[in-house]
Amino acid sequence: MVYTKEYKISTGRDSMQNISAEICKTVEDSGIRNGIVVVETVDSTAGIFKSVSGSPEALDDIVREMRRIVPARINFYQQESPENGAGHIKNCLFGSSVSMILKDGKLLCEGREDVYFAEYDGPRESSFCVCVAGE
Amino acid sequence: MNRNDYDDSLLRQARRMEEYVNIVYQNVLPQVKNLPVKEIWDVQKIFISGCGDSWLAGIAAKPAFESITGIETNAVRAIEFSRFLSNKNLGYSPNTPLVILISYSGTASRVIECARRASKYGANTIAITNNPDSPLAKECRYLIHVGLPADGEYQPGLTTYNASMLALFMIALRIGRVRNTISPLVYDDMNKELLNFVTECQKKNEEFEERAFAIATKWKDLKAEDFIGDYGDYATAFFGSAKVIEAFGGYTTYDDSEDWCHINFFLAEPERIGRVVVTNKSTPSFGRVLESINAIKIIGSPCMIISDGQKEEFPERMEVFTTPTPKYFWMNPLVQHIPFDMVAGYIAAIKGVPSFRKDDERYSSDLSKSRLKNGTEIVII
Amino acid sequence: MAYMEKISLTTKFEGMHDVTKQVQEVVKKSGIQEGICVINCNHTTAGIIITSFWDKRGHVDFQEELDKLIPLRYDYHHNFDTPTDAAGHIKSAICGTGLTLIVHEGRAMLGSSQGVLFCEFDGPRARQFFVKVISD
Repeated sequence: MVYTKEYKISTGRDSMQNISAEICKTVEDSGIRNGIVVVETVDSTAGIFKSVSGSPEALDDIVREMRRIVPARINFYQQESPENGAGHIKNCLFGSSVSMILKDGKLLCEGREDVYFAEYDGPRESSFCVCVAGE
Repeated sequence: MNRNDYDDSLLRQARRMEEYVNIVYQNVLPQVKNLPVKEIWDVQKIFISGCGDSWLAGIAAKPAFESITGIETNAVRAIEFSRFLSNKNLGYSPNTPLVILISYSGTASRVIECARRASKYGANTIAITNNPDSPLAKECRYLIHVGLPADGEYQPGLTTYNASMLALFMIALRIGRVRNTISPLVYDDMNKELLNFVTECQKKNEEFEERAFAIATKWKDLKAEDFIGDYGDYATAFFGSAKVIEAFGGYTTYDDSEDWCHINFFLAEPERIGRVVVTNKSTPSFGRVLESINAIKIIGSPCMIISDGQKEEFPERMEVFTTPTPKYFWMNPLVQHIPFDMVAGYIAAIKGVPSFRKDDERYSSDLSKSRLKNGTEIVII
Repeated sequence: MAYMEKISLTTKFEGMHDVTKQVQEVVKKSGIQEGICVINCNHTTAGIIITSFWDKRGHVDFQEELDKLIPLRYDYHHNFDTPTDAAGHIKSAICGTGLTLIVHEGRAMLGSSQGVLFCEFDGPRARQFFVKVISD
């Protein structure tokens, strides 16, 4: 079976929000114990990624390196704003979805890694979707 | 006297404010989005200039520019920008300052001269006009065409004043968005609020018209109208004063709340002078304005107050026109000229005089007409 | 013996202006046959370099590669002026704002493809640079 749920999220500037709790809740609600979990955002200036749990420093490094790799240029062809232009590229480079393996009612990465919602052009109102597929 | 027997261009324009603001908003939005990101980041100082109402729109928009973008902004008179402003202010860095020039017709000679002078120094220039083929539009690097329908009734200026102000607000929002001084969330909200605010104010029209008519019947025989307003509200005060002259050729004066206490307070026959005060509760000088209002009460002038504050905030027996409180304080000037525009419209209608002395040929001679568009043009280096 | 001249030019945005002729002109005017020629500009968002003057597209590559290294991003710590100014400071520091050339037989020694280029990293602006020729 397949179970899907959408979440609204209020983001900050260059913010990384831990959304693991929402994912675990969705898995629990689904009643599915074995299968695949996909988390995706359709916001073109945001991203979803998986990283180490309990290390805010690691997150800071990720933000910094993302900005180094994709500087917010004033000479992008896209003319909305530098952060917006960089946001589209980060979204494309660093991904807008993750998929995880669900085994015996538990995510394989649980306890070691968390899933984060990354805002590249905030604050704004955004959303992401969690889909659990299996049995 | 029956209110329905009287009508005037100012009243008709006020009734269509919401409609026109929406037209201009839809036209201007894609145009401000075309202002390039790099050049917006090159801006270190902003000048706004124009003649008459256009210059006043600049004063009204200064608070918006400074609070949204954090960039120093000054509304400078066209004659000062073209002939007097020190060239230290011009072109010290590429595309700086940003010079926004406003002329509904795009033919005001002094404003065109401002554009030439700014361009000579490598400053960036934006024309706000309703004529995309005008000399001003051609002199400036960018064009914001407000796109008011050609067949509209725009004299005396009210719709055009709102169009200029709205275009300025929208340029400020674009700069704020690009330079990240406002978040995308706030940017969207401010854009939405601009239209909401005007819609809310339009709902007050019926009440305002009725009360404006009552005031007009009492004020039509007064000697003069005297206006008070500070900072952005100074534009509203000055604008009201201009309508007195344009609509019915009345005598009028204006000042800020501080200097009013020093100068205009002393006008003779105060009981024959209508006083119009524009102020808002969030204004840092609100206390000083209240002191001026108390002085008006003591010397016995008839007084109308235009404010987002309620009647209870002011002394008794004052005519208070309460406009809706905007979510963002800088939006106030967009609507607060309306109550007095209505008074001026009714006075003109009751007196039966056409605007701009059209009944007196001395004011419409060829010599008189050429005063706006002609004059020796020079570019100061 | 020494001779100096100031040369003015109006630049374009990210313009690469070939000033080889002006430099050789100053050397010629100085009358100095053997010595050195110092070229320097007193700007912080411009540079003076030697590169081939033949292919103008190469100059676009030069600016584009610099832009890759030092992007026009808006969030430099230098916030006194503009992003272009901030990036320009770095580009100028990396390229250098001056050159020293050997004067031999009355000419600044440059290869047949070598040109002296004034690089604008902001602009358009009114710019100037100085050429001084000193004899042995």
